[in-house]
Amino acid sequence: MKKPAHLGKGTAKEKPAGERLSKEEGKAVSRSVPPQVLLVGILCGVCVACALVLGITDLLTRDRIAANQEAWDLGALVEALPYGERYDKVNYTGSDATVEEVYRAQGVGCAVQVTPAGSFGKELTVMVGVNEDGTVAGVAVVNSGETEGLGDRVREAEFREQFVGKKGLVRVEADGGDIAAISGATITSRAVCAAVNSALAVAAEVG
Amino acid sequence: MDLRKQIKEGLLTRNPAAVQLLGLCAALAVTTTLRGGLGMGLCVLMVLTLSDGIISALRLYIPAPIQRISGVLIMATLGAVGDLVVQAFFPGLTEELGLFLPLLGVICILLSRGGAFAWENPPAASLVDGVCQGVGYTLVLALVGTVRELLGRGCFGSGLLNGGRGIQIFSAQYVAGGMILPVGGFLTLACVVALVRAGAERAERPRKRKGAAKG
Amino acid sequence: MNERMTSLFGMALGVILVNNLVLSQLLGVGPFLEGSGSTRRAARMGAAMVLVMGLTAAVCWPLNEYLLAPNGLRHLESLVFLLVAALLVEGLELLGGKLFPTRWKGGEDTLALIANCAVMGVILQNVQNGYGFGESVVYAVAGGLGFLLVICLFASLRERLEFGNCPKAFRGFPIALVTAGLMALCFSGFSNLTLFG
Repeated sequence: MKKPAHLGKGTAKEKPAGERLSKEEGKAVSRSVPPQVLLVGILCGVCVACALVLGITDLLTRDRIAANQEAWDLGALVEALPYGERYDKVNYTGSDATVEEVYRAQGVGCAVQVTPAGSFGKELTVMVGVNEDGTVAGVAVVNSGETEGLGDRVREAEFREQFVGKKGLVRVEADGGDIAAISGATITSRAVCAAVNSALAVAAEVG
Repeated sequence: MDLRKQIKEGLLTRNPAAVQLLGLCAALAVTTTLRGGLGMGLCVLMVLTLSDGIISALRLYIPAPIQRISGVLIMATLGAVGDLVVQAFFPGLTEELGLFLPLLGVICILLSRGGAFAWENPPAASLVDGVCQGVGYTLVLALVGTVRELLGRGCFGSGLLNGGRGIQIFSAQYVAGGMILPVGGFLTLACVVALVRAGAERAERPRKRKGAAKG
Repeated sequence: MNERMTSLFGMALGVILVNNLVLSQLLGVGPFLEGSGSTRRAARMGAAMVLVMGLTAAVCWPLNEYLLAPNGLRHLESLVFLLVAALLVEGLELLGGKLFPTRWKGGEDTLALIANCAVMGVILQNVQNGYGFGESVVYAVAGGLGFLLVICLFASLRERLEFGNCPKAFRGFPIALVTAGLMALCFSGFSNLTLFG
């Protein structure tokens, strides 16, 4: 029985296992190179196969991922404004460009998702819950886009709890307010304050 | 296929993160906790092993000139598949890994140098190679993660043990917060690399001595 | 118009100093360590990175905007972007070889440029943050510039490390990692940088 060429190649070489074989050595092995068309064809075949595999996986996992995303968004909502029933989405038509979404919880208040203009285009997204009486119910950081250990520390409960019960304009201590900023992340702390202020304004508008 | 040799190389003498210095982005970024390091390592292990196996199975049918790009494609696809699977079944880990979850494919390409081993070796050896390299990588990441979490937060296994809260070894008042920052990652990784390299050198020494004795 | 330029400039400055790709976001650490053997090599690696990033971002944005996103093919992102990067780098190599036949020294860094957490990370961020075309390219190029800056700094530091006295286990890469860590610490001092107050 004819021994396939590749078996001979694999065992004849005395390479210490695990040594990374270079492409040159691979080419040196006698293997007829097919014409260009075949090359392109095989490459396209690989591409199509890959895309198919990905497509199938996506189809299989799509619903679950969407459900996870919803649960995550809901988690932020609940953290900002605890409410037992379904939140209603409100169509926001105001002028504040940093406001992303507004939700109302009947009889309890509303929650506003804000992406404040932080410095240097960082993607900070905050969900602020506002009670019916215009005080802050809670603050949840949806996405911080910050270095962990520095700006990311605005996620800490200690920092966020400072906002609870606040009304009117909130500011960090450096600007004359009473919010203690995260040391080393004044900009981010300021951005969170801006977000809370936006949310309070929106809540007053939406009622 | 020398199993013992491959294991030793994957874990120690040719450890992908500590000796070959591959895939360090993830080794620094997601290792702020043990869960991050372990999770990333295990994902890489899965994707690396699978792709090594597939590449090795296909190595006879894909001609040499397009091998590199085919390897890139296959690994990228499996990385994306892994990304979707983790997003679907492990949302907590998804949050922890952040931007580096979609980069799974890229990390595997780096670790295997585009599948260099798999293109030249039969599937069995390639699978073993994938596993060994993956385990070696996971160990380094888990070690760095544990140290950074311990010194930077004072706890062990947050997200995994004790219902997600982890075991608080000492109070959060006494932590070295800098360990969670990138600088902590670099310093910890430096120590781990030095440690593994010292171990690798020691592992290689008896062989050299024997070789010298034989003359 | 002015405001847009300011915000683009702010974004660029942000990713160069405040949110540096290597020292803050920890992307592209591989090429960072590999390419910093000498300052000359570092400059080459950095320049190549800027070019690859800018081009890849420029090509990937329309691909995503007009092909992937409208057709619900977002899951093919990683695959498509990596393919684009691979083809671009190969194309650049061919071009470089033809334009500068005697001086072109490609090849060695190729895989580092294709399969690169930095390039891929930046493109993915562009998509995730919903940047427009201009913003994407500015972010990518600025990211590359930030990389160029730190890799050159790092290379010159490493050149001095050669003459230092260092425990045997730490010689070479471990001490380089420590140095990189200290650089990261320094750069984290930029975190409170503001633009015009």
